[in-house]
Amino acid sequence: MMKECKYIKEIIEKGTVEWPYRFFHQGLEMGRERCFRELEKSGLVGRGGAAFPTSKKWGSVWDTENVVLICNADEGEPGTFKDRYIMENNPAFLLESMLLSAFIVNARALYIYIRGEYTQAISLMKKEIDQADVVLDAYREKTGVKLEVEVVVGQGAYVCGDETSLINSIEGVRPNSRIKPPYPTQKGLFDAPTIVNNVETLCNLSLIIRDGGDFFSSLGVEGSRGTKLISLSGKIKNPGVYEIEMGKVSLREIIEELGGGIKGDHELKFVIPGGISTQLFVENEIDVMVDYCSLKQAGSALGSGAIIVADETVNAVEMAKNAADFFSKETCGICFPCKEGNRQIHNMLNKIYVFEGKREYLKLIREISETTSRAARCGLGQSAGNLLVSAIEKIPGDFTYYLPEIDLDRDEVKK
Amino acid sequence: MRILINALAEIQKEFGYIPESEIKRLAIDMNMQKAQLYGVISFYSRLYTEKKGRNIIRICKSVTCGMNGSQSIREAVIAHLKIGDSMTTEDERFTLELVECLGLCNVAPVMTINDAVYENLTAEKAIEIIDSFD
Ligand code: SF4
Ligand code: FES
Repeated sequence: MMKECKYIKEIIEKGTVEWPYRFFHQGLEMGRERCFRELEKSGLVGRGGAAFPTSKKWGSVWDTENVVLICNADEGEPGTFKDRYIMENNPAFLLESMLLSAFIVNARALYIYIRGEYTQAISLMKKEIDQADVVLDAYREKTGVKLEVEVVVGQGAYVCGDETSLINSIEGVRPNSRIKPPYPTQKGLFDAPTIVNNVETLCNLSLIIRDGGDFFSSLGVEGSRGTKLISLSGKIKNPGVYEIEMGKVSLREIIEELGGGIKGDHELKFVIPGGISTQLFVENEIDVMVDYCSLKQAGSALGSGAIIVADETVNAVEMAKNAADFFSKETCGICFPCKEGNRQIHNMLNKIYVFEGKREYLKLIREISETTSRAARCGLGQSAGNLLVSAIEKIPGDFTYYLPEIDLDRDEVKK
Repeated sequence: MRILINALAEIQKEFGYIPESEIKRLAIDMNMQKAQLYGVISFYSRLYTEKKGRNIIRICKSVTCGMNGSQSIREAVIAHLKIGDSMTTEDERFTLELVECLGLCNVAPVMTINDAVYENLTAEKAIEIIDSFD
């Protein structure tokens, strides 16, 4: 029986045993240059979904003044709840990781943007920040900066998980995403160079400072160093947050051994490996290792680590309709193809579901998602079609069940 | 520095929604046009410019909850309260919202009422819980 990896989880569950804020103090002692070198050695990449090398992002603001650091806790991808788990179980660990990161990037301002649905996490984080005078004093002594930690509460817009939308949201304008370049690291919040990192990414940094970059990069595999928190949900016996060493366990092992397998007397039908923006796998594809490269090679992605498991009672059309519903509602609408494309796809799936669809819709859906993904400015539009198109390709029977053998007339898809 | 969406949330906390008079005041305070403020508010699904029911029921309809039977919960609640998505009961007791993932998928299907979370629901349990509110 495979044992769960508990690297980050150990701290989250037990707390920092030695003394409070030890990672932060250790970092202050080491100084920002040495901390940064450890980060470079670690090979850490962002855990929010984009998997961008953290040292590259931070390196790009190294010599700039007035850096703003934002911790992105606007976890909204359906199936993802690992950041909530961190904040609810050990808010102090996240706060110290944020402060440590702020110290390394020499930040003048520190924000955490938490989705409004996470009421418990919000109050715990606020409470933690209110009690952090001593650490903030230590920060000031070391850097001369009187850092204030602002909590911004999201009000229900998935697109704010995108870093430029999130910045707009804090600025108080409509949170559409911005055209890049300029990148936030060049011109971000109120024009200041801005670093946006996910909750889990920042927590990893504390471990890099504790154990050194070399140790961290000894975990995992090339391109996917360290561990990953997985949000496991769906038709699974033991849903929850699990930690895995990247590249060392397969999707099947996670489902069967960590998750206890499928709930009840059913068979596995498909698995979504990285949230509803990623391509699904059917039963004979799930021996793939879970890390950024392996999943990419297999035609999907690790995303934010939301593994959703479906058994044979789950109808792929219903699931696709559900995902399309999400994207057509959450598109910010600024790129026309994303707005219109997601609406059209949503309409077609709804028609299919009530037996009013046509065979050609399946082809149209694929074409529209391709166009959308090319024309889209942010991750939402770029990946909205992944799941649907893979469902049509891999589970065609569920779709054709609803469709006539041949299309009799060829009028356009109407609203 | 004052963060607009936090300020809006505070107003909503006080009044239950964001009244016109407060928007006027805030526009002056933050040196913005009223129209700009409405533009921002309308983007967010959790901010309201109209009065809502005393209790806001949110039922998740995203993928994991969907797989675990949220459809039947939604249908039962809709039939029980005789209102649809984003509607408020006549007695202003409830507003119903069918929402996207609440980040509670490990205990799906889920519903929240105000800030309380109800996990691993069935239709019967959901109705029972709803009836315990006034
Ligand atoms: S891709 Fe879609 S969600 Fe992203 S900026 Fe364009 S319209 Fe908005
Ligand atoms: S899918 Fe319902 S809480 Fe995540």
